[in-house]
Amino acid sequence: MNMTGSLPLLILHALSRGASYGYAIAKQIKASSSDVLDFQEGTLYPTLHKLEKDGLVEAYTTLTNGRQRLYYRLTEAGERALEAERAAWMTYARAVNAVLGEAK
Amino acid sequence: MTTPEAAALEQWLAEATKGLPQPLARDVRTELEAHFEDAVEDYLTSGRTPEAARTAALADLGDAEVVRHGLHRVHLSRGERLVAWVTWLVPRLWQHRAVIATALFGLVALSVVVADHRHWITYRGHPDPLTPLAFGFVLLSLLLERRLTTWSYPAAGYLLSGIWPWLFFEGLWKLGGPFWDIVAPLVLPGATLLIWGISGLRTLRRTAGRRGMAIAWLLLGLLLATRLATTAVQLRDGALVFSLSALSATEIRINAPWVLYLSVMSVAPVAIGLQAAQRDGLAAVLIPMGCQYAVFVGIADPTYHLTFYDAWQPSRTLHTVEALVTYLPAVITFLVAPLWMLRTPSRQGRTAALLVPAGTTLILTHVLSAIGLAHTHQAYTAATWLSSGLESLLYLLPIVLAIVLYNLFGQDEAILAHTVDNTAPALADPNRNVTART
Repeated sequence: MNMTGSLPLLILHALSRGASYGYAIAKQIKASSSDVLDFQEGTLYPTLHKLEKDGLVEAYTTLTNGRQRLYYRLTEAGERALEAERAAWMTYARAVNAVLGEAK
Repeated sequence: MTTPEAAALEQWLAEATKGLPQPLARDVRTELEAHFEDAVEDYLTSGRTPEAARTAALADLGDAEVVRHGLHRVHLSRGERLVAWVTWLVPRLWQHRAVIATALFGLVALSVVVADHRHWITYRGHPDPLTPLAFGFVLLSLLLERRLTTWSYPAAGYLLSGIWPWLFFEGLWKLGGPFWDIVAPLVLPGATLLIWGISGLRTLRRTAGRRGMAIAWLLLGLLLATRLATTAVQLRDGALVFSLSALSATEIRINAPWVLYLSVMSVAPVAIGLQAAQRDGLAAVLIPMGCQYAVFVGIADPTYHLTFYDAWQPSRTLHTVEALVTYLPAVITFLVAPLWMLRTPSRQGRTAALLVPAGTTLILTHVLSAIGLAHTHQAYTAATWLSSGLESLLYLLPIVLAIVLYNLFGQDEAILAHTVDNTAPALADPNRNVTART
């Protein structure tokens, strides 16, 4: 399914459950959507870096199982952005559903 | 040892991080590598083989180019993105430089042919604009590359055949005086004959006793015989006449240098092309082909009668046919044949690429001319077809000769490498491997 534009929201949502790293975020999005939302995993990183640059997430390094990992966590600005984006998406989805429901 | 999967990952990472500042590229690379390793572990746990796991993990990462674009948008300014794009583009263009340069040269040459045809540049007494263009391209090739590039072969061919008539008949001939009237007509073909003689002797010395040379000598004899036949037997008022007996001693004296020049020019490109084949086998065939175009258009001038009738009794058919007969040989020589040759890896393919376009051009040119001149005084008769056949043979024979020589001495690898190690002559060791410098 085409996820153009919704990836930042999905990433912010994934990080609202706790700090995570790229591969785990990708897996979580795919699993939560029962693999309906599929995407090229490499494209996750430009989006993550953009969110970091905008101050919505922050990155930190940690050592897990002897491997250095770059984790991301939501900032306060990120939490606010997530709420705003989620609300906007819900409004949008309700509107689309209303139109589709009317068509039945 | 580097496995194919590891090499593929390395290539993917290099592509994805290209153009990023060094420290950032290193961090992004580490992050992406960690992602890849995590994915491989998961695939291994699910029962895949290590090879399959790595292949699948790499496929999941997606298109490296898309990732690179995304990273550039986030991390680079507009100016930095432009620099990165140029840095990315230039090596790719360089990689395909032979095809690009050949196509560019072909298009420029064709534009000149079109301009010449539309504005009657040469008919108005101006020198042929294609020759200096060809000269520029060949010189540029030699200066920049210090070797002949594929795109310069048609230019070199045009130059070899075109430079003398351009200097000699368009300008210097009009100077008059004993030197230009008598000496020059003998000196210029004489110089060409000397080049051909030296090349021929070198070839003879190096190929003595080699199989296949008999065919080459036979073709050479056939070529000279055809040249003599086309000189002696001429088409007059739709009938073939044996013309030598009708010529006076003065006419013979005036015509002799011209016939000598034509004979030498038919063979010289092959001999020169063969010498060039020491460095690049392709030159052995493309140079003669370029020359044939020059000889065909410049000397045979297939549009002569068409242009005459188009000006006298203009018609849409005549105009179209005249344009086709003008552009067809140019398109074939400057674009179709070099690009076909460049993209064909096999020897048979290259032979076809040389012969098929040339043959098609000849046949189409005559068929089109016959259509265009159908209702004029120059309508094609059986004698015209016979005469055209002889002339066509005159242009095809050097190409066939070049093909034979190319198959005897040419280098297969040279065409694809198009930049070759030219330290040792191919004629000295025909089985020598050519090393690509790309």
